[in-house]
Amino acid sequence: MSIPLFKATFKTNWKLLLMFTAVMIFYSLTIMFMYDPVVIDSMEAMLKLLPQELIKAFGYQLQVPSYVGFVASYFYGFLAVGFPTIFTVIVGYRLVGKMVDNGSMAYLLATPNSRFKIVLTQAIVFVLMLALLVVGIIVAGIIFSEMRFPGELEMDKFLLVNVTLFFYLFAISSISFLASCLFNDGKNAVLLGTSLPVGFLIFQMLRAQGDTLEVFKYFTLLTLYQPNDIIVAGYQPWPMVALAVIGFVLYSLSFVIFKRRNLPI
Amino acid sequence: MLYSSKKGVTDVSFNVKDGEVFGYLGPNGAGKTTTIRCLLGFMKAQQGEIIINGLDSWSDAAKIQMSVGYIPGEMALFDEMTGIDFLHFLLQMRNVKDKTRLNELLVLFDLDPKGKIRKMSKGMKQKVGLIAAFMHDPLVYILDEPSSGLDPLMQQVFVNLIKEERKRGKTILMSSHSFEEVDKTCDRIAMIRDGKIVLVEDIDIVKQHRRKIFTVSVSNPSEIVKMKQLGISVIFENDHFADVEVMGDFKPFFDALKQIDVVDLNVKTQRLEDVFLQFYGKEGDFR
Repeated sequence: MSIPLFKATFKTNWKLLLMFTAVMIFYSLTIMFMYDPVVIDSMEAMLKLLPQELIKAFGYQLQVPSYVGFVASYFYGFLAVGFPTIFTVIVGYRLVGKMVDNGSMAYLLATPNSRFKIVLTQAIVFVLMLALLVVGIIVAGIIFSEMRFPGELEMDKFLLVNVTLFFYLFAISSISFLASCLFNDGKNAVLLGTSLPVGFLIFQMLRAQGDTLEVFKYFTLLTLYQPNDIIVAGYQPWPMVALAVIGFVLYSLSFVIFKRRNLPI
Repeated sequence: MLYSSKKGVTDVSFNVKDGEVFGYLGPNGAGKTTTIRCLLGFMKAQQGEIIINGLDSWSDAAKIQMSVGYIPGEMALFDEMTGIDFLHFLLQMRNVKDKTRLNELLVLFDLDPKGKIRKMSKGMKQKVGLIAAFMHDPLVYILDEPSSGLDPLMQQVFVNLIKEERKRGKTILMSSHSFEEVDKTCDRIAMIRDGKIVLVEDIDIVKQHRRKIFTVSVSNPSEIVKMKQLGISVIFENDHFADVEVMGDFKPFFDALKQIDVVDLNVKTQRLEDVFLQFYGKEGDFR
């Protein structure tokens, strides 16, 4: 890894990270603030007034009427994957594809650092940023919960939901990163890097409608991240392992491809 | 090296000797930048090999960069950084701590690098790029159209810098699309056309065979008649000016001009193709 490049890349992207983390924490705390054990039934009643398809699409279905179950449904069901998806798409493109497209990659490769070292550094910054994002939500969530509802938050389940979220983001970031390493033309990198992660969200919304649309679960990585199921079933290793393997394979593939490619810079 | 569009570089072979300045000339789209991308290891030649300082340009790319300074043809810097941050960053990437050369170059090119690169003019960006190539004092320079975007004063500064670096024993390859740009600095030149090298020659020999065209303005038309009588080769004439071609030795031309009432004298810049064709035409099939 190259330390100077690590610092420079972090410096270029930390403002965006801060912005997304702040928005995520804001939403997460808003949802937590809305929880009230007394009125939870009336809230369910209110949601019943809305179109059920919409409720399902956003995962707003309370499986377990506990505090953590409430947060898992209303925050982690959609918002917690939706916002970071935008973040991974933007940053993933910036890290490699944009620099190849505008030619500034030439300056990095004209220094005595191998291509592998350069893309590895970019990937490390990327994954670290996703980790910081999730840690930010965890810390803010725990502090807020302990202040408002001391002892109410089931820590193990809350952490499990967040750690699995991190592995999901790791997996989709590897897709954006691969797209970023694959193409000369920035347009193609953006197209592939965006369409898959956003497609996963859309297919998730469709599969949640159940019945015949259930088939869409085979087209979305979000099948591996179902916060409601985590709350019900507790720790299950395989979705996390699967997401981690996908991420490792695609990141490795990105490195190999970038190392061997002709670069028109 | 062929692109998928079947354009590219198909027949390129030359070597640059230690301590010489080598001009790599060709019209736009001839394959100069593609050749240089292969030299830097950004692209892999499908056939043949490229050796720099005894190392293979593809497999040892990172190692080669230790002793190479490079200016890309397209100036795309890190827009969000300031000029000085960018230069410091590149020094760190090279693990070079000595900033004396950097500071000398900032003074030489009269550059204030504190502003954001995004807000810099093309000329300023080019200066940043030049300094980035020279600041670690490498042994070899690979410069892709290095003086584009510089004003005439800075072009002169650049020419002097090249001469100075040559004196210090550096090896320099620079590409250009104009002969005038390289004839002040280069020892030898190669010309590339449609992806093929068509000429590799000492600059002095090329200059000897080079035809120059001057536009001579005179006080009245009879002077043009007089010029012809004095043996000057007039290729185009109007009432008050004539285009004159001069080959090799300029002395007879200037001697003749002394007897003419000259109002103004200009050199016509020639296309690279013309320079090449003249040379090729005179020397025949010398390759």
